[in-house]
Amino acid sequence: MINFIEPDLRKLTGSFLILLTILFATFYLVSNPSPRITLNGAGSSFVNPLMSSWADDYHLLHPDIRINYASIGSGGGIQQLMSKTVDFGASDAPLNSEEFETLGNPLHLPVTVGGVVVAYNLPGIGDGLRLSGSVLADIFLGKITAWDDARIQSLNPGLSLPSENILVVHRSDGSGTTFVFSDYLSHVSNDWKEKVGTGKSLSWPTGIGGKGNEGVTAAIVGNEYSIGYIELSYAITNQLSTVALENKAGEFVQANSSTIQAAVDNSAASLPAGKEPWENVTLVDAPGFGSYPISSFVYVLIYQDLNNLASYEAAQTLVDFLWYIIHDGQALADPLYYVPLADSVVAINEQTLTLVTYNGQALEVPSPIQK
Amino acid sequence: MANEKNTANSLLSSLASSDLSAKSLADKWFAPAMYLLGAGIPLVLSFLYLFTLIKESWLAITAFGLRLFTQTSWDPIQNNYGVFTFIYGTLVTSFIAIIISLPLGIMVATFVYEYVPPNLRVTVRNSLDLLAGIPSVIYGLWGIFVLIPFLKRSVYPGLGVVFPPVQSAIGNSIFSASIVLSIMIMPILVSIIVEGFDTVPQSLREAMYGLGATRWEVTKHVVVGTTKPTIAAATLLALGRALGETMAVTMVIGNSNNPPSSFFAIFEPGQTISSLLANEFSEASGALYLSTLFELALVLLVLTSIVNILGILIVKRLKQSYGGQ
Repeated sequence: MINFIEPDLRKLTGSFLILLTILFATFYLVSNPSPRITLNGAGSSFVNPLMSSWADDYHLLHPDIRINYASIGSGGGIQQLMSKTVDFGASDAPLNSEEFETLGNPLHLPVTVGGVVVAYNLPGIGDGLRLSGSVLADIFLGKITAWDDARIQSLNPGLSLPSENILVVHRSDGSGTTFVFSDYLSHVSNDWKEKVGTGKSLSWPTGIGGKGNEGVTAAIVGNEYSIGYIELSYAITNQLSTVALENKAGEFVQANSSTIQAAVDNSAASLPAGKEPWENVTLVDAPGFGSYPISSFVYVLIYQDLNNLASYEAAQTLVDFLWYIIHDGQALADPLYYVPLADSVVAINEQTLTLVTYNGQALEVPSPIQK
Repeated sequence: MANEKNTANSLLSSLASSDLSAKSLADKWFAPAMYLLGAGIPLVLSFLYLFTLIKESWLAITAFGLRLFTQTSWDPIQNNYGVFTFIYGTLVTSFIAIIISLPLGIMVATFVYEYVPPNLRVTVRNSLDLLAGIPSVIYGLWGIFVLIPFLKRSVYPGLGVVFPPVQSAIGNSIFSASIVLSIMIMPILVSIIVEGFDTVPQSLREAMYGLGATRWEVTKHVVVGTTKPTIAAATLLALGRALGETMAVTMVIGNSNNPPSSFFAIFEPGQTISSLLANEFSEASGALYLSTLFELALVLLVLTSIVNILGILIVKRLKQSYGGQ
C-alpha cells in the first residue's frame, strides 16, 4: 500500500511506556478513593434509570459506600443471583416456582411500579385510540390485520381509521416488559393464553422485533401504521400516542401515575409476605375504577440469609440501602416516570427486611415508621 | 534504508562476538518455545471453545436430535425449538450479500488498481481502509435511518409494479440486511483483491500489451484472470464475516422468528443465528433454552468452518490450474 516506514523500535517502546504511565497516572488520580463497602446488583433494564439514580444518591449520602448495578435484563439478574455473583437481583417478573425452588426461597421486595403502554403511529389520528383487551390480543395474534377493522372502528366511532395493514412491533430480546404485557394478554384472551402464553421470550405469531424498549420505540416512530408495547417513560419522552385501554371496570384508561397507583391500591389486599412465592402476584387487569390494566411491580430479589455477601457489615449495608429505597428513595421515582410505592406495600417490605440475616445473625432494621 | 543498515550491522557484530555456547542454549530453547506458543495457544483455545460449546449444548442435542433443523417454531414457553428459520436467514443474507458485492468489488478493485488517476490513488486506497474499519453498529444505524426509508420511499413503489409482493413490504427485511452486509464486506473484498492484483508480474502485462491487447483485455485476462485464487480467498473471507455479523444485521432484519413464507421471501422480516443469539442469550433462563442457544452457536461455528474448509479446497484447486502464481 503506502510506503512502510521502518519504525525505530527504541523510540516506539519509549513513547509507548510514557503513554502507559500517563494513562495509569490519570486513572489513579481521577478515580475515587476505594469505597469501604461495594455492593453489586444486576437485572431489569426497565428499572435501570431509577436504580442508577438510587445508587448515585446513596453514594452522595454515604461516600464510602458504592452500589454497582448492571442492567442486563431480568433473566440475567436472576441467573447471576443464582450463581451468587451479585448481591441482589432486580426483575420485572416475579420468580416462577422452578426459579423460586432453585434459589432456595429468596425474598421478594417490590421497589417500584411501572406501566407498560401500547403506543402507535397513526398519521392523522391523535392520542387516545380506544382498544379493549380482546381486540388488542387479536391484533397481536395477527387475527385483526387492518386498522379499519370493524371491531376497532366500533370502539372508536368518532375516528376515521385508515384501511392500512397493522404493523405489530414486539421485543426481539427476552424482556420483563414482554412478560408483563403477555401476562395481561393471557388474562384477557384465552386464545392468547393457549397459543402463545406468558413469558419473557415468546413465539410471536406476527410482527417485527425491536431490541430493547429503544428498538421498539424506534420501530414505531419509523414505521407508519405500527403498534407496539413499551414502558411508560419511553412513550412520554418520545411523545408517542398511546392507547386508552379498557380496564376490568369497563373504562378506557390512559397510563399515568394515578391510574397505575389505582391499580396497585386495588390489588394490594392480595399481596403475599416477602418470603412467600410471588409467582401469582400480578397487577395486570386490576379491578376497580381508574385502574390502568398493564401495571407491574419491579422486584429486588435477595437471599434470606445473606451469607453470599462478604461480611456482616456488607449485609447490614444492603439492608440499609433497601430501607432507603423503599422510603426516601421513593421521592426519586416520579421525575423518572415511575410510580412510588403505596404505604401498604412499604409496610410489607418493612416486615420482609426484618427477616434478613447474615449467617444466622439478625441485622438491624429501623423500626417501622409510625403513621 | 539507514535503519536497515544499522540493524544488519549490529546483527553481524553480535553474531561475530557473542559466546557460542550461550547462543546455542538460547537457540535450543527458542524454537521449542515458539512452537509451543505459536501452535499451542491457538490449538488449546480452539479446543476449549469447541469443548465448552459441545458440553453446554449436549442437553439440546440429545433432546431434539436432527428434528431441530427441520422444525420452524421457536417457542421458549413450550420449550419447543426449531432453527430452520435462522439457518435460512443466515445463509440467504450472506449469499445475497456476496452476490451483490463480488462483481462490484472486482470492479472497484480494477478501478483502484488500473484506472484511478495517479494523484487520487493514495486517497482512494486509504478511504477503502477507513471503510473497512467502521464499526458494524454504525452500519446498522445507517441502515435504519438511511437505507430503509430510502427503500420504502423510492425503491419499493417502483419495484412493486414489476414484483407485486414488494409493494406492501416494510423496510426491515432479509433484503435490507443483505444490502447492509454487502456494503460491510466490500472493503475487505476490495483490499484483498487489490493486493492480489499487485502480485501480477509486470512482465505478463507488458507481454500482453506487446501482443496488441487493449487495456480492457489485459485487465480481464491477465490481471483478473490470474488472480482467481486470491479472489476466491477474498470471497470466502468476506463470506465468513457476513455469516457471523451480528449488530448491523439485528438492527435491520426485523427479528421475526417466523419461518419464511416461501423460498424467495427476501422482502419479509427474518432472523439470523447471530442476531438471535445476541437478542436472547442474556435473558435466557431454563436449562433446555440455554442449551439450545449453545447448540445454535455450535451450528454457526460448524457452518463457518465448512465455508472455510471449502474455501481452502477451492483456492488449492484454482492455484493448481493457474500454475501457482
